[in-house]
Amino acid sequence: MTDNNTPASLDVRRRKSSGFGAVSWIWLVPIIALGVILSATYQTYQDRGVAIEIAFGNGAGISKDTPIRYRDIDIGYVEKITFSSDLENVVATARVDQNIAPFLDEGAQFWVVEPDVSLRGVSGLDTVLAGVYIAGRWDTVAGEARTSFEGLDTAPLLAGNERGVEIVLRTDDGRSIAKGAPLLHKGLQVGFLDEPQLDPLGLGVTVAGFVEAEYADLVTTNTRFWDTSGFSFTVGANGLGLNVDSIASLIEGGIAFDTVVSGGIPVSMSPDPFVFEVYDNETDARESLFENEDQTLLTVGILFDENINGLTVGSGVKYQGVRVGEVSAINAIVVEEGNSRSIKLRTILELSPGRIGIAEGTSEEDSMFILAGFVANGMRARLVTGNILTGSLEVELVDVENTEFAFLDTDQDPFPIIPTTASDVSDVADTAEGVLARINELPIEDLMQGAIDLMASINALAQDDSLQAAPEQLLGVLAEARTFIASEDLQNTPDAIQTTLDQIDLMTAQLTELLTGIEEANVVGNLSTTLSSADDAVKTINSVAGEVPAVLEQIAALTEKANALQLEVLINQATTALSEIEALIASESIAALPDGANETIAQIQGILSEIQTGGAVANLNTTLESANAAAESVAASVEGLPAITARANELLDQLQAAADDLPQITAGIEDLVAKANAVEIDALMAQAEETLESIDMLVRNDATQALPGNVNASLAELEALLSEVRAGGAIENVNATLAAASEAAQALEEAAEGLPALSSQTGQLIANINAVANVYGERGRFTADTNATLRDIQEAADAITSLARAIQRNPSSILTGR
Amino acid sequence: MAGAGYISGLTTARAAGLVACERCGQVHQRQNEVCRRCGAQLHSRKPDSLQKVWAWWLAGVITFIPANIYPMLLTSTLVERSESTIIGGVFELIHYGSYGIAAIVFIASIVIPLLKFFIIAYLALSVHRHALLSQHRRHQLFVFVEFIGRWSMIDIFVVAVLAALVQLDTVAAINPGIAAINFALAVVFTMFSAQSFDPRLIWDENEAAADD
Repeated sequence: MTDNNTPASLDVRRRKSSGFGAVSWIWLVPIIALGVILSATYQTYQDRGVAIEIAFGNGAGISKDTPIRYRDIDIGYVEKITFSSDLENVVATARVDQNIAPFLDEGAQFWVVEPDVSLRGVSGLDTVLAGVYIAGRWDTVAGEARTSFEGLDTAPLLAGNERGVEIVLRTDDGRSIAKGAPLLHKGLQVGFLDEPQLDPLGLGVTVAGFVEAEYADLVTTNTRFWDTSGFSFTVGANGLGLNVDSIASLIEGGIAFDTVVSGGIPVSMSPDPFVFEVYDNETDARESLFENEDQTLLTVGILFDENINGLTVGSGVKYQGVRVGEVSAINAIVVEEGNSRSIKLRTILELSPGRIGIAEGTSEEDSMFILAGFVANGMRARLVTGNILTGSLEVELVDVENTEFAFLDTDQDPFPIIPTTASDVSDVADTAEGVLARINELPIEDLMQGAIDLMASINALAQDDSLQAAPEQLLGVLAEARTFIASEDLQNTPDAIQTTLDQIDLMTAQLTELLTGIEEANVVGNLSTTLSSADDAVKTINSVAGEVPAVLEQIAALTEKANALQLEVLINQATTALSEIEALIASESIAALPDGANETIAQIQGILSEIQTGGAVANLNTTLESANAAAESVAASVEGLPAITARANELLDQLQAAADDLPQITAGIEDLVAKANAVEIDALMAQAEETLESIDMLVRNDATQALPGNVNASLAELEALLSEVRAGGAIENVNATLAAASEAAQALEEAAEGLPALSSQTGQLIANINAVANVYGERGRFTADTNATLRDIQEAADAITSLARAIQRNPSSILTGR
Repeated sequence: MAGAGYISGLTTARAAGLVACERCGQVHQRQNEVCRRCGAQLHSRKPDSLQKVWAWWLAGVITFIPANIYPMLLTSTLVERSESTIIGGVFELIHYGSYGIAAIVFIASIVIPLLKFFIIAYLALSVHRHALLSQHRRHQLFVFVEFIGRWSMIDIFVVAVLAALVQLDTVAAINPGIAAINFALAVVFTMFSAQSFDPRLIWDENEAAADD
């Protein structure tokens, strides 16, 4: 180390002592800070508002920080919620704005606003989201500030500071009004009602109402209020009326008012709420205007001994027909009279003094004095019938003359008692008497006299000789009628008809036999055989089946022709003929039956005898024989069929041998079928029709018309004739003929391919038969048989038709053999 | 020997009659009042250092009290309105299970400021009294206080950001409370206090000892 490095001489300048003498400016900083903080703290303390306590019945959603609002502006917040010392209330401690605090005086009201849904709308909806709040209401005049308040359970009528007039309504019945119900004027809401409250004495219901300021002048002392709740139903000379107010008023009730008479003093002038009565309906309200409500009602009692069933509270009190008051109460009291006690019914009346002539402004005592004077002069109360139909009673004040002296008993407590007189409820009986009197006055005697006169003339008429003779004549007529009915001829007629019917029965049986014979001849079986042969044949042309449908069509056409046989026409004609016969029988000439019966029968008998002797039966036999012969010839001719069949078989063989020639063969078959189509069954039918027509003609013939009277005999003869015919072997002949036909059918079956030829043969056969039938044209019996035969043929044809249809429907059934 | 950190034979600038300009670092003779280079006042030690430390410290403490009493955040939503103080916010966070965030807020807003108050007070007091801790330890504490000071502002940042972001009028709004300003001031004052402390004072006792 050298001296060079020696530091400079130490110059320690001691700073001035750091005592209080040298306080640095820096101390200002904490001082300022402290000052600012303190002032801010003080400010905060000042601003925190005035603590108030509001006691509520229950918490109802309020909590810490629940705002207190006045006119929808937050003026404070709840700081804490505690219970009152007795746990009766919830005490919300809140701090409210300092500026507001002075106004929180006696009149301040607080209530909790919650969402409220009513018929008139929804209110407090904002509280759903933001929670409930405490609303406050107070006047705008600062009074003696308070810090402790009782909260209201429900919002007051006037939640805000609306301006208007408050009124009080009195009504007997609070059922029809509810809090918030509207006050209506001409159907518009101009105010609303507060909670109805029971009158302290229990005599009625009072409800505060509020009328908005702009309508306040509408309410005067002459204004009348009435209940519009629900609906009213009126029956009157104008018909039925149903009045329904708004739905809200229907449920919540509503009070309407109107001021009909001018001159009232607006109630807004009154310092205290004006009290109004509420009437049941508009009519009552309007009528009440003519009463002077200012006068105090006189309350008096009546003691009725008798049954007052029908008298009710509200029943009218009338004086000379004018309603002067009403019954306000009915109750039973014990009355002491001397030593005895008795129960009497005390009816309390409220009388309008003005209505019974007491001048306005008279004091109640004076009024009562005047009333006492009336009573002394004979005024009495009695029960009268108010309504005959319902039996309701009313009280009537009457002036009874020459009555026992009585006085208004003012000693009775609490009301003076008006003496009574005999009730007049017998009015019903009087009315009934009046009805009877009117009945009595009816001119019944005149009526009786007229009736007597009428009977006398009837009697005279009855005693008339000619009228008396009438029954005898009538008797004669009847006797004659009886004789006529009893006449032998007429009696016999039914028997004759019976016989005829028996014969017809017999004929039918014979026909049935005949048909059975034909059935037995196994036509169908034969046909079936024929068809199986045809089946065989068809099988042989199995390989050329392609053309079969065409053939079948032809066959179908044929069958349709067969179908088309005009049997229906035939039947119709037969029916017509029969109906003609019926008509004939029913004709008036039957009436003449008894008269000319004998004679005619004799004639008929003669005619029949002639017929018998004329050899008709022999002729018939002959004819039948010839028919038989004809049938045999048919059979013979049919015998030629096998040849045809053989030819057809050959043809089929050829077909089989040479299927190439198919078209030609088919054409040939078609030709054949065409021929079959051409068979003149129509002609046959036409002939049958002709036959029937001729029968018709016969029936319509005048001669025939003249016959009915002889029907019995004729039929008897006819029966005899038929017997002879039977005996003559006609039936056998027919049978034989049919057997021949059967043979022919068998031949047919043997030669199915020869059908056309057969058909033509048959046609000829039928033509022959027809010819035969024509011969017997006038003898219906044979024709009928022929018809039956034809019908059988028709049935056969139908069978063919159905078969053909089956084939048409299912052609393969033939091929497959099913 | 006074402290554990004492190293004998070291000569301080003041002992050598020198003084360094605090602004530009130029070394002057002690007698110079003003830096010849930059014109700044020359002080061997910060003037009135301890007074300033205590003054700022006191201001910080004063402001720190309302910072913890008054609400930091004013949260108002459609439904409710709430205020939360710093410690209240911490408890709220704990209540909702955000323990980590609660810890951060608690440390940054409560622990660190308080720690700073205590450290600064201890450092200032230990200048003239016998200290338990060695000079080195105390210097380390000073460095720590200077470093950590700014981080106390984290709560203020949170409030500022939230207030800026959540401004939805009536639906929801967050506003800084009175405490926010107080807290910010407290932090600032503490930082000033720390800066006012001249760490060389820690070592001056060696000189005094040497003088003895």
